[in-house]
Amino acid sequence: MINTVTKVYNDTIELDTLKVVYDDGIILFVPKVEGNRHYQEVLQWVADGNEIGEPE
Amino acid sequence: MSSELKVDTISEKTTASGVTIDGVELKDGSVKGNGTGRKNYIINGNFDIWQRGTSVTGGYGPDRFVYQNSGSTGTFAQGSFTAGQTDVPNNPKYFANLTITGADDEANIAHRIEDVNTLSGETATISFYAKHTTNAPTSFNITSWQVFGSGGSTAVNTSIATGQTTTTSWQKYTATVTFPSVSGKTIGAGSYLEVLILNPNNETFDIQIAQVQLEKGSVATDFEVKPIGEELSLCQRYYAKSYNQATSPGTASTTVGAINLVISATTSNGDRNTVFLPQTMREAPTVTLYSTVTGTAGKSRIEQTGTDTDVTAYYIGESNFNYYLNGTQTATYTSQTHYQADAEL
Repeated sequence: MINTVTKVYNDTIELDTLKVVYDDGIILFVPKVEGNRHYQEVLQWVADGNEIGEPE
Repeated sequence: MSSELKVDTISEKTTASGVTIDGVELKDGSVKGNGTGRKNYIINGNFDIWQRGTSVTGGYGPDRFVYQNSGSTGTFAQGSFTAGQTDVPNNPKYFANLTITGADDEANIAHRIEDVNTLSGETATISFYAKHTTNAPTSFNITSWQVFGSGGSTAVNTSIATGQTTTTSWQKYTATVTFPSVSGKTIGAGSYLEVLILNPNNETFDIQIAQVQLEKGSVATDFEVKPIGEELSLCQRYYAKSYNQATSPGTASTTVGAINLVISATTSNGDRNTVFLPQTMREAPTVTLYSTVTGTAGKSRIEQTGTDTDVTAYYIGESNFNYYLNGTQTATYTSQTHYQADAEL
């Protein structure tokens, strides 16, 4: 299960990648492309009421 | 003396025995195939490639094959044939072994073939070997889904065979299906044709499968054995890693194959590297980065300090990706990182 999703920056520029952390601690870097199944999972996670956050 | 016989069709005399021809020269004809010069639409049907490791409790196990369930517990693991056995032809080394230890009415082994246009409106035959070891499934089904991708039409289910049973000996199973045409459907990114071996009986069981083939036409022909290098290249369109083939991603204390980056420490997040993937992948992949020493995801190992540091992948493309070490590092130190890249369907 997805725990958190945060944006990824290169200095101050937001990149087309998301950092996805799962409950078991696995960390994935997911490109924002429609054909990527993890990105589809993130979109569903957002549709379920969750929010993509800013990095700490 | 030469002679010529002109016919439109040569049919088998005995059902399912095929037609034997002693020597063939093809002048301008073609042999039915999957459009790539191969007849088998299944990649890694011989279970030669296990990049993720030899046992998983869910998700992708052997390359291109995924264990799916509806909440059960089980393992999807590699099994080895005894050298010289003849029950399954062509001397395969491995089979896939699904053991379900928590009852489930949707436990299945699935294979997703890229692009739902595949075999649209065509007749095809699936074949494989199967058996059980200790806990027979009451029955299993062979079924398929045409999945139309992001924003695409609703998926279409087509049954291929039902009520199949196993014994403790290897048997060959074959079933023929005509897949529905995708004409008129909306097809989005990430579409695929999926074939599944599924136990619907809400029970614990085990099943072993080997030599899976899906080919055009209504006859199951001999299994197509591919060279290992070719099979691995096909798999790497969907999954790749920096580790040696026999090493599971995230394995601790694995420096072999790691990516080195000598740190320049110019700016925060300024220590960057580009990694080229072994194949152009199906789609920009999901990237996981690992410390070489602890195997922790999201980390890179700084060799001189003996500690892990956070690392970020970015600019991920189909043929390469980039990463940077988070924050400011120490000049001349070396970071060591492993990766896996996943573009599976």
